[in-house]
Amino acid sequence: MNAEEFIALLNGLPGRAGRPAVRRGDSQWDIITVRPDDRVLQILAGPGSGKTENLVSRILFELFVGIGKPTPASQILVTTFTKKAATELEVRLVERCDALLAHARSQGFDVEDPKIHDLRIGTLHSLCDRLLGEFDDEYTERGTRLIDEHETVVRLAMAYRFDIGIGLIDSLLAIDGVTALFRPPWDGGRWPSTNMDKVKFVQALIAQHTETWVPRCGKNRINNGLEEITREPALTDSLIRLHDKWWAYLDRKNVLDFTAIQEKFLQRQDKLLDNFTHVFVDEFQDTNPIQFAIHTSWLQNESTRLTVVGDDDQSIYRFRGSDIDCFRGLADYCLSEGITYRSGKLEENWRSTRAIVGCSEAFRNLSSLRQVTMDKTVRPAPVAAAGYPVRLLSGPWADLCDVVAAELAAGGVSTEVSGPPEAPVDAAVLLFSTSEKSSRTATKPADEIRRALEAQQLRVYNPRNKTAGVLGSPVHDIFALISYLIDPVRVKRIPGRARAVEVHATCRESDRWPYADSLHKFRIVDGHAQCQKRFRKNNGSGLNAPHPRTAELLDYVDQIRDRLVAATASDKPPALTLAGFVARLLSFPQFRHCGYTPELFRQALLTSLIESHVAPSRETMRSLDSPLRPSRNPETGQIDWPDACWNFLNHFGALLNSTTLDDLEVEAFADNAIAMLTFHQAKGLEFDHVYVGCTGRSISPDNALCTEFFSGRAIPAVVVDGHYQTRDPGVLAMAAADRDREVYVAITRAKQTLTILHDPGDTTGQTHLNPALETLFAQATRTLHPRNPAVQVFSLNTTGTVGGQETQV
Amino acid sequence: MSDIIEVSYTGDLLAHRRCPRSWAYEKHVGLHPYEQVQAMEGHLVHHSMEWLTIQYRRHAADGAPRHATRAELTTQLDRYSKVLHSRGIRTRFASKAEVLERVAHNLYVKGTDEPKPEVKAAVEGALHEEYELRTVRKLIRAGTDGEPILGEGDRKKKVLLTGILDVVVQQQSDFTYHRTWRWTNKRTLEGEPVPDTVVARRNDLEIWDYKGVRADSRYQEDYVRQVVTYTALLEERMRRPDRCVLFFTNEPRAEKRLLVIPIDDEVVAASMEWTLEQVGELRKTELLMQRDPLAVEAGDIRRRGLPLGERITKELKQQCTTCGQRFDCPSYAANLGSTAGDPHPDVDLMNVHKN
Repeated sequence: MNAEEFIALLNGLPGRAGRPAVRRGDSQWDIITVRPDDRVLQILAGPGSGKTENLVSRILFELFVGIGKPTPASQILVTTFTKKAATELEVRLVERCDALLAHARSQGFDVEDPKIHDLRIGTLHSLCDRLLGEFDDEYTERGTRLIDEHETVVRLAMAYRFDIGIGLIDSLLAIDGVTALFRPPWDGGRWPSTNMDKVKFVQALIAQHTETWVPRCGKNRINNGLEEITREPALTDSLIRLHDKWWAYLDRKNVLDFTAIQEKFLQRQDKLLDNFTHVFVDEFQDTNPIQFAIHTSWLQNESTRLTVVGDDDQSIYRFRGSDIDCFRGLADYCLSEGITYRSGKLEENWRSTRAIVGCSEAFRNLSSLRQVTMDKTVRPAPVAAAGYPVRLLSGPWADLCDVVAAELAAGGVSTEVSGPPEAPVDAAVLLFSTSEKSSRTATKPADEIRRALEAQQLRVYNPRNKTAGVLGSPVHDIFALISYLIDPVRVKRIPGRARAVEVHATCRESDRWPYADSLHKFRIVDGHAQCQKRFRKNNGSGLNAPHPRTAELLDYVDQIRDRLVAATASDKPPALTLAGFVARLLSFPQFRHCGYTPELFRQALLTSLIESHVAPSRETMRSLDSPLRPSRNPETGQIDWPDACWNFLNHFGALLNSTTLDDLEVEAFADNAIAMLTFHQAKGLEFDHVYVGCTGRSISPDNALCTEFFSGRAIPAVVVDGHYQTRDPGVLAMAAADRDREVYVAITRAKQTLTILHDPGDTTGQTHLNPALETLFAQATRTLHPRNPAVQVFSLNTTGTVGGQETQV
Repeated sequence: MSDIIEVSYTGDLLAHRRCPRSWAYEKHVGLHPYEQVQAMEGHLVHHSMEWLTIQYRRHAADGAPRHATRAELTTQLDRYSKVLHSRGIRTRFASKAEVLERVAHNLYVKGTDEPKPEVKAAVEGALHEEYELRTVRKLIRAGTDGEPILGEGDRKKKVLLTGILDVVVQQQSDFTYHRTWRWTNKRTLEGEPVPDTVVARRNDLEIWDYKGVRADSRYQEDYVRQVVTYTALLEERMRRPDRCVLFFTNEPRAEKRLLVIPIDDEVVAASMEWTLEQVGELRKTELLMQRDPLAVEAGDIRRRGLPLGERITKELKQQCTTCGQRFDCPSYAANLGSTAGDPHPDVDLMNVHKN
């Protein structure tokens, strides 16, 4: 089969959604067909421009045509940014491949099955693990295991003191210029204050060092730019030591975290170079330097081709180490290495209405993106509908929430008042932060939206709510019961104290230990006891007089503890494990009768978190998935629990007390629910109806400086109130573009309607209106919302740019 | 959001048929039992077949085709069991040595280095290219016009069916099977195994599926439908196989270890239809779960409508006894005769002698 025949077959496939045929000489032809001299093809693809479809077509071209002969599927590698994207791409490939095969055969072509299942598709981390397992005997024989982020945190917490060394970590924590780089933008300068904050700091530091400094500066041992800025002459050495100590720990345990697997893969990649002919990389704009090194290393094999696709305007992961310079600098890299390079563009938006495309283009031109964007013009597809005008709803947040909920309950279409929707609405509320962790004095915007939506009987899916571990969540309450099983807090009168005091084996005051139910073994953080007490005192009760529903559970745990101790001393030791204990607790009505709510999914989160704690101990002799066998200490009469139990309480307690937890991102949770997502989570998704709020966060140079420093550049900057300030115009432009890209990603998710939300009365941080949006809506038509006159509706009549000219309805 | 429902044949469809309640909590919601109860033996059997094939090909490429010896296999299994152990997959009810011995025993002729005939047939006939094609993924539209799976109001319109295909065999020489599946009703896909002789000829194409159970499994009919469905999924890419074969790796009686399933247009079409019906049932459970989790009933889906206690089959009972959701399962309690006043030890919340 030749290129013309392949394209003709492709044009004949059903399901091309009214798209015009691909013709020789147009941009799609250039993107889909593989040329004999192709080495690197970089595709700049605007939102909704069909990049997945074109990527799939180019892969199929390799499989059916190739260069001279079809390329075997096993020689093709496709990396995506998320698991979800990998599944979507795989589905599309299988669907198109089967259809193309059937169509080709019906047209009389004698084509071989391209064995689409032999393609390797996945996230870079999973592919690194899979390829090393397949091609590197040592990796396989050692049983090296890739660990997820939860387990990484738990292991780091365990390794923190002894394997890495408290002295080294403390010396880094003492340098304000280092901590400021990783401090959350909303923190005023106290972070990292808790032990888990410090663990997260170490994790972020190791990741940035590994992903940026190692590939860019490691080979020539260039100093980290921070060294000059902070005036800490040994800082680079300290970071190398930190990295090496964590690596040594991982190596001893035969595990790799998501950061280390990339470095390991880069070290071993030369073993695999001959196995792949064509490597495809999706979402290349969010590549970090070590990933850039991996992708370009494939080109060491002179017959390997690399196709990358992305959109510089949608690069939003700098805070996790990505650097848009990887995308922008690919052409220069190829030039310097003498590698043939060509580029292609996809500029027609097949996702959104003309109104939405017009709005997003206008935003791009009004925002800081105008100065940094790569050359492209996004146009609506020829078949795109004019669509409803893009709206800005302005009013008190509570009223906005009611309006959003009422609109979605009625079908989510514009401002028309209609009956209930016949089918579930495909809609999303996108916010810069979707934290629902409200305080006594302030309610979070996402929290208010959830309440309003639930009041309309709409289910909400918010996997970044930060409330999955709070009091009342099964994660918190079951852990409180485990804490009560092992180390119950009692209120007792003890000698030397005038009043009854709280006594437990892990309390700080050593004079209380002899009176605790359990034997004190070693010092641990008593965060678990805080959870336990919160749970037992909930609903206004006291420790000794818990609420009847709580009392029933506590009574049960008391009986189980007694039975475990008695059975351990008997001829028939207990078989009950922590897992079995939790399974029993979850069968109580308090948990089982929670309905199909976040509470149900938090039970799943609990089991997942416990697995993270069980796994690190699995290789030891004190595994938590062994039977619980507490014994009675003959001297003190106290209950002696295995060390693994105390370690579990220590780390899980710290996790719950010192960090915020999110719900699991599972498909079932999202089914038939209104998605409430952060701008970052929304990337790659699309919805019929999109509401976007909290668009105006202030510009912070921390992340941009982090990239620069770890790339060996010492940009002048100072730390003020816990965050960096700089006058460097390049860094400031990067930081401003980072902010505006987030908003651009959010508004380009909409297919049918797009609504911006803004409360002018709220002047806190992120709730401002993005300046470019403010300008955009300044001249818009203003009306009052028919459902709630407290809400003003600004309707934008921009319908998109055609041929560079803005047109209007 | 997505209009695709992703369904694994074994992990979802067959698990759902055995117990919708257990499936809904564990697979749909994600309430995984975190204690690894995965059968090391199943992993070892699959790994053995894969490794034996690779070894055979390696020796053949060197010009001296031969099968790995039993000792070589045992050494490899010992190494692989360490990998499994580090990944949390362990043997729970027997020592590792016993498990390795049993796996090797099931694959080799007693006292020799000669693999059993069925093992040789699979290893020698495994098509090189197809052998690596393990994960079958196929997108199926619920209706010809893209109707939703459960009609108006359901967002899911396509099914992504996933299954692990163990091996596609191209026979290298004549091979005789002694047990055949006799279709009693092709439309409803009912049938039974009967002693019968089928001779596979050189170059016959067959899909084999390894089952780590004995040949008299009550789920035999489901396994037959599964392997026939795989045929339907693959036939657009390769020619239709001449037959399917189930290999019951834990079956001690040699004559019962292989079951040949004859296939034709009618059974292939019926199996696809049946599979889509099962996806519909599964989707109903999902939506019921979303409305009222407590309303999802436990027990074998084929026994719906029977009194609660009769919905648990003998084989399902083995699953129930370790199920994390068993403590308040009405069907299991009824099957055990357990009451609130006199709980059976399996579901007694106070019993610390059972996990």
